[in-house]
Amino acid sequence: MQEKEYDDIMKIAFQAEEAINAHVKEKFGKEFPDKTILIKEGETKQEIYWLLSGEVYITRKMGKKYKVLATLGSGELIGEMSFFDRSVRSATVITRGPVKALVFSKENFSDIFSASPQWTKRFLISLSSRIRLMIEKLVTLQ
Amino acid sequence: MEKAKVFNKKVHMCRKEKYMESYLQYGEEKIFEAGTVIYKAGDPNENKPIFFITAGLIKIEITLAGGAKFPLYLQPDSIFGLVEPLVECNRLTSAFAMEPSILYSWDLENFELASGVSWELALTSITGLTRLLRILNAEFGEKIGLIKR
Repeated sequence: MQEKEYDDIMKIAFQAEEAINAHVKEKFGKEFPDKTILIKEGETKQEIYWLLSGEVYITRKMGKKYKVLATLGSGELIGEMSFFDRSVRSATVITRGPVKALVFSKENFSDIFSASPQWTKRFLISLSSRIRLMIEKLVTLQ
Repeated sequence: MEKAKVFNKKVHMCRKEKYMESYLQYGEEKIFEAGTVIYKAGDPNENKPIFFITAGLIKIEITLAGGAKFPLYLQPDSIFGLVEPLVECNRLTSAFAMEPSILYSWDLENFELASGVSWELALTSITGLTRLLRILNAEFGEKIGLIKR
C-alpha cells in the first residue's frame, strides 16, 4: 500500500467520520445510481461499503425476484460480515436511489479494524441492531 | 514429529492463556449448575452482564410467534448477552446452563475496556455476532419461504 493511502486509512481508523474530507472521498468514495447491485449473493469478493448517503436494500433472490429482508441507510457498514467470518456473500445488496459510499478493500478494512478499538464498538453496535431487528421479526412473524 | 506437535500445542495453549488473561482480568468468574436459568427474555435493562464461556455448554433460546422455541448452543470461547447492553433493550433471548458451566461476566464498561486491550476478544465478539446474525437470517429466510432445508 502506498504511504499516503496508509495515512488516509489510519485517519479513518482513528477519526472515523471526522476523517471524511474531500480528499478521502476522492480516494475511496464512489457514487452509485439507483438499482445498482453492490454485493451479489454467493460472491467471494470482500469489498466493504460505508454508506455516506442514500439507502440500500438487503435482499435474497426468490426465483426471478428479489425479496427485501432489510433496508439500511447512511452511516451503516455493508459487507463486513463476510470479512469477519470469511464466508461467501449471503445476500444481494441493491441501491435504493442514488447512493454515495466509501469503498474499502479487505486489506484497507483490516488496517482500520486492527488500528482502533472504536471500530470494534461500531461493528458490535451495528451487528447488535440488526440482530435485535431480526429477533423482533422472528418473534412476531406468524 | 509427535513431540513437536505436543510442544506446539503447549506453546499455543500458553499463548491462548496469556491473551485470555489480558481480558478476563476485567471480568468476574461465575459458576452455574446444570439447568440454571442465567437470564430470561424480557428481563429488564439494568446492569446486564456480558458473558464469556470458559467451560460448559450454554443454550440460548428465542421464543418464536406461536410459542415455538428456537435454540442455539454455545461452547467455550463464545460470548453471549452482548446485544442487549449495546442496543439498550430488555433481554431478547433466554440463556440456560446445560452443563456445569464456568462463565466470566463483564458490565458494558468493563467489556469495552477488555475488548480495547484484547484484539482477540474484539474479534471473538464480532465473529460471534456475525454468526448469530447469519443463523437468524437463515431462520427468517426459511420462515418467509426463501430457503428450504
